[in-house]
Order: sequence, then C-alpha cells, then structure tokens
Amino acid sequence: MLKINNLKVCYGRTQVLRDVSLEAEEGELLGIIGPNGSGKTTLIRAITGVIKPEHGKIISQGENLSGWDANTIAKHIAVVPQSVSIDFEFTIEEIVLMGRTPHLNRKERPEDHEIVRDSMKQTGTMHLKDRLITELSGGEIQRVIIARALAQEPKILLLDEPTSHLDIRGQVEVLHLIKELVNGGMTALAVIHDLNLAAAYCDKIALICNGQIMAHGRPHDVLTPENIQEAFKIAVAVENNKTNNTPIILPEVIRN
Amino acid sequence: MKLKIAPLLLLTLILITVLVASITIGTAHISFLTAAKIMLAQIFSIEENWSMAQETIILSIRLPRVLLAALVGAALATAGCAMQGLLKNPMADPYIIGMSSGAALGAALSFTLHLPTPLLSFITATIAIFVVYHISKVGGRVPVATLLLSGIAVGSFLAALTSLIIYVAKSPHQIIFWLMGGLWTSDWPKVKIASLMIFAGIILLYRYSWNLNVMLLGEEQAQYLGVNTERVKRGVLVSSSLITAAAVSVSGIIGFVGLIIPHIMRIFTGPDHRILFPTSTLAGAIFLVVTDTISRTILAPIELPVGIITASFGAPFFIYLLRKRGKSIHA
Repeated sequence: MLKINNLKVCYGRTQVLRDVSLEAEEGELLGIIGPNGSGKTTLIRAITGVIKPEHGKIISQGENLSGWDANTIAKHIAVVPQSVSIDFEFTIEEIVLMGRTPHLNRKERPEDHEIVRDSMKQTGTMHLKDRLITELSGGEIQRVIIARALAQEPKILLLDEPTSHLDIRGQVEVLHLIKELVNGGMTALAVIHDLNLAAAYCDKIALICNGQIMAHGRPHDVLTPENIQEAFKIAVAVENNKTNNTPIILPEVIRN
Repeated sequence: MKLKIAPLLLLTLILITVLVASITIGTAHISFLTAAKIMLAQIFSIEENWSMAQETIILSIRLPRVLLAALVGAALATAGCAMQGLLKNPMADPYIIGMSSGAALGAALSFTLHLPTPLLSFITATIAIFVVYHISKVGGRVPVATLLLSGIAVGSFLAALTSLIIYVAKSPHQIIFWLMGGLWTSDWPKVKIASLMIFAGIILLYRYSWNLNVMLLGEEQAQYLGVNTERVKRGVLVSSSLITAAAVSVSGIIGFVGLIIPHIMRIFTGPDHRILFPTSTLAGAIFLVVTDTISRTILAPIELPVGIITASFGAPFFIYLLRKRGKSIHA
C-alpha cells in the first residue's frame, strides 16, 4: 500500500507539487494523468526521494519513507523510467541483475540469480537472457526494465510513461504485464499519457493539473468531459466502451 | 554474470613474460640466465659468476625501470577506464579534467625553481583536480557535463601558464622533454612511493566496479536502484586522481595508454567494469613495459621519450581494431 499525504515539492522557488495526497492499495493500479509539465514525473522523483519534498509524508506499509536512505527505498520501491536507451553492451541477464543492486553486498549469491530468473520468467524475457540490450526493440527493452524492477523485490512499482514510445501492440503488452503483476498483489502507480489506455487498465485515476490533484477516483468519475476540458483545455466527447465498460475519450476534431 | 577468468590469467602470464624479457633486453648485453641469477641471488644464495657492473645494471637500472613502467601503465589504463565509465565519454582519459595541465605546471615550476619535480607535479595535479571538482559543484551535486567543461577550462588556463614558463625559461628543453613523458629517471624510491599509491588507488577503484556499471544506465536510474551516485563520483575521482598524479609525477605525461587500453579491452570484454578494470590494469602494464623497452633500445644508445612510442605504435593498432570491429565505440 502506498499513501501520500500533503506532498509539497519545489524546484528553487517554483512550486511544482502542492498538497498532493494519493492512495493506492495492494493489488491496485493507480494511473496518473495530466498535461505536460503538470508535475507527474516530479511526483515519482519525490516518492523515491531522488528529490526531497518541502513537506509531506510518503507512507508504505504503515512506515514513513522520508527518513530512509536511497538503498532502503530501492528495496521497497522500484521505478520503471521513461524511455530507456542504453548504449552499453550489457546482456539482458546483466541488466536484470542490476535490479539486485540494493540487496547486493559486493558479491552476488545464488539466490540473487534465482530471483533474476524468476523476474525474467514473469516478464517473458527469459529467452532474451543472453542477448545484448543494444539489440532489442523498444517493447522488449521495456519488459526487461520491468524485469529489473521486479528483481528489486519491491512492494511498490512506479512507472513513468512506460508505454509512451511503443507501438500499439507494445503498449497493450506492457500494460497487460503490469496488470498481471498488480493482480498478483503489487501496488502500482503509472504515469500514462494515453487517456484511453489509462481508462482501460487503471483501477483508479488521479488527474494532476498545475501541481495539484484535480480529480481522483474511478476512471468513469475522473475522465469526464468537464475535467478534461479544464485540465487539457480541449473539448472531448466521452463514450462508453461496451466490451469492458470503460470510458473512451474522443477529442473533437478541429476542421477548417 | 559469469566472470571470465581466462583473459586475466592470460594477461598475467603475458605480463610476467614481458617483465622478464624487458629486464634482459638492453644496450649492455646480459644473458637471460645471468639476469635471472642476479635477481634470484637477492632471495637465495647463488654462487656469483657475474660482474658488479652487470649486477648494477640489472638491479639498480633495469629492474626499477621495468617495474615503474608496469606501475605507470597499470595506473594510467585503470584511471582512464574509470574516467570513461564515470563520464560516459569515449574521449575521456586520466588527464581529461585538468590533471595533466596541473602536473605540467608543477613540473615547469620545479625546473625553473630547482625543486623536486615529482613532488611539485603531484601537488599541482592534485590541486587542479580539487579546484575543478569544487567549481563544478552545484548545490551538493557534481553534474558530469559541468565537470568535463570546467576541467577543460581550468586545464587551458594552467596550460597557458605552463607555456609562459616554457617561453621565458632558460632551458626550456628540460620541461618539454618532461612533457613528452619518459621513464629514464626511474629509481627504487620512485618505485616504492608510486607502487604504494597506485596499488591503493587501483584497489579502491575496483570496489566501485558494480556501481559504475549501474551508473552507465544513467544517473537517475542508478539512484532509483539505491546507488549514492555523488559518493561514487567522489570516490572514483579521488582514487583515479591519486593514481594518475602518482604516475605523472614519476614519469611525466605519457599519453595514449589511458585512452586506448580501456577501449581495446572493452572490445574484448564488454562494458562490465568487474572484468574491464583488471584486464585494463594488466594490459596497461604490459603495453607500457613493451613500449618503454622499445623506446630505450630502438635508437640505442639514444633514448626516445616513451610517449612518442606509445602513440606511434598504439594508434595504428587501435585504428586497425576500430575498423575491424566495424561497430561504434562507447565509453
């Protein structure tokens, strides 16, 4: 479980996040949506302590993370960053083993390799084990990075636009994988740009605008034409996807 | 990750062979057997059937020189490897953030003021790095790009001062020869001091291998994996500066070793610092022992600065490897 209370983050004098309070239960995928520059990535950085919040609490499993060092946080929270490009010829197994970094004490033990194997199996990347990261497609890399995150054995998974550079098949495959992990008991928070994908896969959605939470709740309640108009300054129609009863957002096409 | 032990064993064997061979090669002809006996006589009691002159040549001239070449080569290649990994820049070498300009200024001053060159160049090199590091500090962090740029800026400033000293110096050739790098002043005290600092620094660097690997993925990702990136940067900079300053102070500015040896090793071992570091250390030692032997024998009795040999033999070989591989090279 992840709980964020009254989070405030500043870059210099500019307030980037204010009074952000959010909650994600175990087995829940919380989607974060919002216009560019609204503070979504900052939220992920603040949760992991990469930047220090002015005030506010991050609580996981009843414990306040604020006083923890980076290593302890990394055992608790794993991050799948925005578009990873790695120029160095590490094998997939080596990349996934890097997920064990917070647990390693200089030497890797047999159980570390076992966890690495399990993470690769869970993400369907086992067959890529000996391939080089420089040879893989975007979708494959993203699955490998998720495997690396799983190797951290985290309680919470944070994903920063995990699908933004993937084709439609890659997007669906990655979100499907995240959904599976969440169904297995993981708490996940994902920044997602595509409103329709967010609507289809997230249990709850938080809409961030100008560093504040504008709406927070089930997709149908958050993704209303009024909310989207206010946050993104664009007129949309919202319809219902009958196959899985989720909202579909259709922008009004501007024709000259 | 399966560590490849075979290349390490192979390189160690080559290093030992090269060390022994280099001790027996020189202007004064001393057979391999005699040379071996002279060295072994230091440990075991062996009947003496060689001249005093031969003993002096082996023990006081060639042995310290060959050992110092190995130490300096190992230091430069390991430090170069660390800087390339830390800065993620294939152009990086041990001197990139102003180390060589700092040492050169110290050496130039020492020749004009008649002070001990190794001491002064060590001090100025260390000060240069210290200044560069603190200039680059922004709110407790040291961005790698800033480090690189301020290193270049401080380096050019110091190089200008050195040029000024050379220009007004009475005997500028001394400074210029020192700048080319050479091991002709090798003696045992230098071997002792340098080996202490270089071994310590290299061991410190090895301890950062895993974290450097993780940092190759990007600093932010390394932080998400629990790596204290600022501490790693500081540690790697301090250790590689220590060994580079030690190497430069005893041998002048020998180029090329620190840039090319890590690249050549990376072609064979891949980017994993846990194998890349030790192979670079060994290969650097081998390379400098061989090139130094060439530099003191090729035009004997005239001796060439080893920097000339390292670049003129190393560069074509590296170009050959680059072309053969046909792939791009990363740090």
